[in-house]
Amino acid sequence: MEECPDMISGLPSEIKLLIVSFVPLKEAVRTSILSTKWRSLWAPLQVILQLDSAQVTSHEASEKIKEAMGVLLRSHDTPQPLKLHISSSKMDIESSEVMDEVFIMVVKRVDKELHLDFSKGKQTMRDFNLRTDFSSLKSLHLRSIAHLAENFVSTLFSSCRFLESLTLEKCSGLQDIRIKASDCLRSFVMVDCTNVISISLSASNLKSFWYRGVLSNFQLKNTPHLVDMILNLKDGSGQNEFDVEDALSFLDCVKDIEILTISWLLAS
Amino acid sequence: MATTTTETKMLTLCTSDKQQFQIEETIALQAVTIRNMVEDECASNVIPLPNVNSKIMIQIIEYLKKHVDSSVSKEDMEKFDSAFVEKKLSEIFDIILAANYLNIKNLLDICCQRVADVMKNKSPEWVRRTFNIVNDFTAEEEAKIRKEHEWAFEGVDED
Repeated sequence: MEECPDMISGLPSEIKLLIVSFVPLKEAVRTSILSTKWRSLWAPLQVILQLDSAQVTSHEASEKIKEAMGVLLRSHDTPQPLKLHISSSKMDIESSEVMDEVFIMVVKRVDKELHLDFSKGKQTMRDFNLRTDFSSLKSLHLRSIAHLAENFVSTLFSSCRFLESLTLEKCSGLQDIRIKASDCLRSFVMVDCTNVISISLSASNLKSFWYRGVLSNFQLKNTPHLVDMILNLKDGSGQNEFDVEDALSFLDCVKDIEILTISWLLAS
Repeated sequence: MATTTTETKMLTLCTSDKQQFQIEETIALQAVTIRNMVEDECASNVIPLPNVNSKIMIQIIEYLKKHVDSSVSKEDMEKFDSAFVEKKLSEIFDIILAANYLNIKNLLDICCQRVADVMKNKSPEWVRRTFNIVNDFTAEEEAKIRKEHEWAFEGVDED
């Protein structure tokens, strides 16, 4: 094999970031594991919130986050992916330890992808509210929303008017999802959201619907273009009750689907 | 200043290996770096380009000559671009560095896109092997990064 040196790592950072901006966000993030040089590309923008519960309300916290995200989203022109690392320190009175809560957000601006990861924190910001304008986003990925306000997804979603793809992953805080999407939404993915009871989705141009988790009450309204549906019900019926009427309404919404894959339906 | 408007103005570019290239000014000015040098009048007739060698310069001139031609359709231009980047990766990297230095944005973009296409849908291990990137993380450090960005590393096939 031709012995050639590692030319790519030697390129200036801005060029490496430009290269990374041309691959999907998930793969772009994976480049952080190549070597220390690549990892340093992802030096996150750090935002530390001082959350002293006695003095600072969650409203102020979300204002601060909004401000930080504003900085991030305003710099639209540069194509590079960016990572925002938001952590809050809070004194636990009993143990007098500082607890760090973190959530990570990654944005890639070429394809207008946004990934919000809440998995690191303990998520006490119950009233956390994001009212930033996300109308330019095309792809949104939310992970590990646990104790956030129930309406979080709906609120966030309503500001994403041109969203084409929505992914909800491991969001145990979600029980009822009600989404009325614009004409832009093509793809909806929901995986491992363990406490979900019902999903109501109206999206006139939706093409694919992928679901993995417990059997819940699916209501797909106004989805004439849905052709690809995967239901992986590996977690059984969970706590949910599912009666004949629900089954019939579900069958009614899947009657026009071209490729329907259902697995684990009969597993206990 | 005896040049008349009908005469095509030429520029001479001098590469790092002291080769001289005579090209039309309109072609050369697509490179923002050259345009700035000409506008600032800090270069006389010969423009020194110490960061570009003649081998790469020949290819860049080929690219610039095509792109200055406004009669080429968008479709043909895209065809030209995709054929242009069908080169060995080591050559692409040289062109990237030259395009960055000369500030030719579209050329930089298509070359970076070409590199990105090689990386697409590949595991980190594959990318390391292909580009000869030495993994200088300890096993613990690597595990920590994987944990931090768990979502991105789920379901990656080793290939």
